Amino acid sequence: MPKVTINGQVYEAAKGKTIIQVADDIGVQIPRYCYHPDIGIEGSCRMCLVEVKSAPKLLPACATPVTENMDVRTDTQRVHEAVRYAMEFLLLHHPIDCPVCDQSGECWLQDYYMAHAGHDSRYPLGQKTRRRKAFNLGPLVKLDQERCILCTRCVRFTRHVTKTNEIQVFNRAHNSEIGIFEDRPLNNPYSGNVVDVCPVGALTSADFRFKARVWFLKGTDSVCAGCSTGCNLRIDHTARAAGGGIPGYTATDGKIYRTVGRRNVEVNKSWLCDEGRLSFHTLERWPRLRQASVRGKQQPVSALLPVIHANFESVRSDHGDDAVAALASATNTNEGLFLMKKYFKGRLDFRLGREVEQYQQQQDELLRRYDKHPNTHGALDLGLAGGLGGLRRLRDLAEKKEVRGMWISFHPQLVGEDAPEIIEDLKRLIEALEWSVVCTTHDFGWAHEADFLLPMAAWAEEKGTYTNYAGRVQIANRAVMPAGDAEPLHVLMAELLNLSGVEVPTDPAAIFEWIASEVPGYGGLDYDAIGPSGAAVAPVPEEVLR
Amino acid sequence: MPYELVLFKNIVDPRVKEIDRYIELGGYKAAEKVVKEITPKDVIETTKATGLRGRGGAGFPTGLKWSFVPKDTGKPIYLCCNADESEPGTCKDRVIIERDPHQLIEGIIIAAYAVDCHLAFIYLRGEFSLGYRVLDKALQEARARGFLGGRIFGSGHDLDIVLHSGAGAYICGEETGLIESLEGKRGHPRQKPPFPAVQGLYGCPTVVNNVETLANLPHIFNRGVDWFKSIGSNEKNTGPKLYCVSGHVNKPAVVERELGVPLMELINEVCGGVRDGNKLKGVIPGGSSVPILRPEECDVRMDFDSLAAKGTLLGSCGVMVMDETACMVRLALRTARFYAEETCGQCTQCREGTWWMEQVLHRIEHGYGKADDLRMILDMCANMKGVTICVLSDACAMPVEAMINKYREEFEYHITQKRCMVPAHAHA
Ligand SMILES: Cc1cc2nc3c(=O)[nH]c(=O)nc-3n(C[C@H](O)[C@H](O)[C@H](O)COP(=O)(O)O)c2cc1C
Ligand code: SF4
Ligand code: SF4
Ligand code: SF4
Repeated sequence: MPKVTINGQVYEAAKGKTIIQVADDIGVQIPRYCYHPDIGIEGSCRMCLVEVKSAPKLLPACATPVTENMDVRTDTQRVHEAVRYAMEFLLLHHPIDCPVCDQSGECWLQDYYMAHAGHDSRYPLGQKTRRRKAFNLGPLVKLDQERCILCTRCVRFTRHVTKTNEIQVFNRAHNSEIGIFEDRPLNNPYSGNVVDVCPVGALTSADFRFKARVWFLKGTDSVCAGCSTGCNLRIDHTARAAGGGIPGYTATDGKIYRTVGRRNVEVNKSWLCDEGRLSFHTLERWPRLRQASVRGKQQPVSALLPVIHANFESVRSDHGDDAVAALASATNTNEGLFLMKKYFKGRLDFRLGREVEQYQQQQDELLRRYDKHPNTHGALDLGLAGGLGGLRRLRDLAEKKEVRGMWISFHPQLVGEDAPEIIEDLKRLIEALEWSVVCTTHDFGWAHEADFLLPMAAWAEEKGTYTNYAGRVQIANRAVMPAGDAEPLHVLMAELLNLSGVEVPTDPAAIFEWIASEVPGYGGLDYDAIGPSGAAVAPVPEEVLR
Repeated sequence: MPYELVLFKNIVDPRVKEIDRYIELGGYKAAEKVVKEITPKDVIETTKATGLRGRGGAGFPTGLKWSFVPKDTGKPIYLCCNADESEPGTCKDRVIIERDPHQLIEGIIIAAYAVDCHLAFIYLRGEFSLGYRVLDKALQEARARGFLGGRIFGSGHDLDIVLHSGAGAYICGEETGLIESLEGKRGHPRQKPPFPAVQGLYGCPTVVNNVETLANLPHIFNRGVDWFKSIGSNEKNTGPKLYCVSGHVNKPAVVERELGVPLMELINEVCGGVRDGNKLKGVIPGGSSVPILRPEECDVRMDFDSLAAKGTLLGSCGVMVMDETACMVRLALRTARFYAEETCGQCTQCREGTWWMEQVLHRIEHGYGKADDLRMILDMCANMKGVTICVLSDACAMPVEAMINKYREEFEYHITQKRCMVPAHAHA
């Protein structure tokens, strides 16, 4: 391990790391545009120049590996000058249309200008080079060539990450421009990431553009629930607490405006697929279920739960324990599923279709997996793929009157569509049951056939953990409040358990501790240990995988 | 003692581009001897001993460069002959290519053998269409003779040479830009290190040598180290050298003299003196990328170290002579414009600096200069040097900076009087 000195402090650095990597690890700020840890080194923006003792020239920190006894300074006059001039050169022809630029507030030009430049422009305003503004590169991404600083992050993203090469540098010298070929739009399934990586307002999201100023948004770290990969993301939303939010919007409960990739080298690097990025819109696709009802008649949730409990008890006493069962969703959190398992004494399943077969299957070489549920692995770990055999079998059992009363939790897939057969089977199941509760997020027509209807909090409205395809347990956080009277599944289950005489906390962290004490592989974990980037659980036993 | 031509010995012979004539004049003997009788290691050692320094611009010792090539990587080793000659004021490689191509091919064979390369490339400037035809034919002839191909000269060494025509970009003369271009990419120079000798073409060890550098090799192995070292100004500046003298001299020419010929001798005795008996105003000694010399600085030998001592460079040996009718503002503008056109556009300072510099010089030249403009340009120059991936940025900043510093009164006259100080251009 080479010893390097950065600004007078000595650090041990792993061999082969570059100066910028070491600086990032230890929290020394080095400005950069072209370098991105998941796209790689280009060395062209020349913003990360540092002084290295015995090197005559300033060296690019991104492209210079550390060596034994290297003495690096990032804070000398020479370095400051070089960065200040790089900024002046970059801003020469910049339109500075910050007032109408979506990047404003999270723009690396603004930030570095304040931190490292602060100069007055010496370029005549009227003579700045004009370029093409605001045109579509593809369905999700717009380009403003005037704002581009030619860091080529986007070019290299499509070259090295998606290997689709849609974005290129065209022309040379001052005429260099980012663009696409006429007949090849930027439409790969990961196109939105170029907006995340663009450090300035050159690439903006067609979906988010002009919807909100970023400084009114609050970021909540979470995990995508679009498929079993569990990519880490940040949900940007209006704040729910008083004092936040966009003036003029009555968004006291918060509204999601966008999601952006959150770096986790173990899972998704810095990337999201486009479907996952936009999956929060799925929550707006149908009207939300806001209130509980009994055969069409609205009731408060709190009044309904004792009735539900009593009904399950009476089915059990009339027809035996086996007459009661439950169907959960692999989009429910471990906490919700675990309490549900407790309440239904293990008589539950979560399989709607081919989740178990598919949850580890890659849909492409990057991130996407075929199973569009975030928590199939977790449901398996909790032992929910037992003798009940999934939706189809439960339907048969109900039709044979072996099962008479059921709780059905349904969370729609956030990416793609739930298969029509599944909805068909759910309908038939409800029809066949003598008595049913459907607990769901949206006001689906088919759910009204159930006797009881309960609103359930959706993804981003509850806190809990998902275990991804690889057995990594990760925390999804609540960003916004649930619609209407909806409650997270674990809260509903905790209350039912309380009614049955078992004292259960509603705090997800406390529920997780209970999981950790009972579920093999989860031992020793808690929310602190999982942290913002997740923790690996022991692999699923083969016999569960089948 | 009159100078004995080496590289240009046969240059006036119209038939020397044919292989028979080249052989008749003693050609390919050196290459044959080298591949059959000398070990690659000794070829490198001999070349080191001659003190031969690269003629492409940087003057890096050729033998030393070869010795950096790692031999045990299991990867192929490539040799690229840099024939992209595009530096303004430079046209020496072209003469070798068009008139004595076998001299170059023989040099490539020797260098390739020295570094254990079996596939060499000639990266030829796109505009050299005659050169392309001549080289292509010469390569065919050499192949037909068994000088190229499998087991060349009946030895155990295989070598072929690929002739590649560039597409007309100056930056593809920079060795890593050349490599990127050969790989079929945009000619964007690479950050160094790693140097091409370690990681070059297709990620393999690669030696890039200039045409003139390679053309020296047959002579070295024909006539020996001592002979080579006897030419030139001193131990560190040895061998014959081609000079491309252009501009305001009576007889502009590409001429050969020893490395280190006195600049004034070159101008006055070889090229017939400054045009029309005019007064000398300045000389750019090494192509457009190097700082200009004022007349009082011209008492200098044309070698790497003597010019460095004067704060300029031998560069590509494009000697551009300016007499009193030359306008330095216009010269600076023309220089900046070239680099603004030719920068590859990767690095911030180079892409924006060259363009900005051209614009400011343009307004000075046309009578719209502002009081602060010179300070601004010098500021730009200072911040374009030493901060970019390749030295094109420096190559723009250095000469312009020198022109302003050395002829400041002309620039100031342009700004304050809004016209040119030189009578011939006074309308401007
Ligand atoms: C902008 C730029 C342009 C260059 N153009 C040429 C060229 O046209 N021909 C050449 O031989 N070397 C050129 N060079 C120098 C090469 O990078 C390299 O140093 C040279 O080919 C090495 O050969 P040598 O060691 O035989 O001199 C250029 C360098 C720069 C920075
Ligand atoms: S990219 Fe940044 S500096 Fe440029 S207009 Fe947008 S916010 Fe302003
Ligand atoms: S569009 Fe953005 S990411 Fe792409 S090169 Fe320009 S500034 Fe960089
Ligand atoms: S210095 Fe100029 S020419 Fe060289 S790599 Fe950078 S931008 Fe390209």
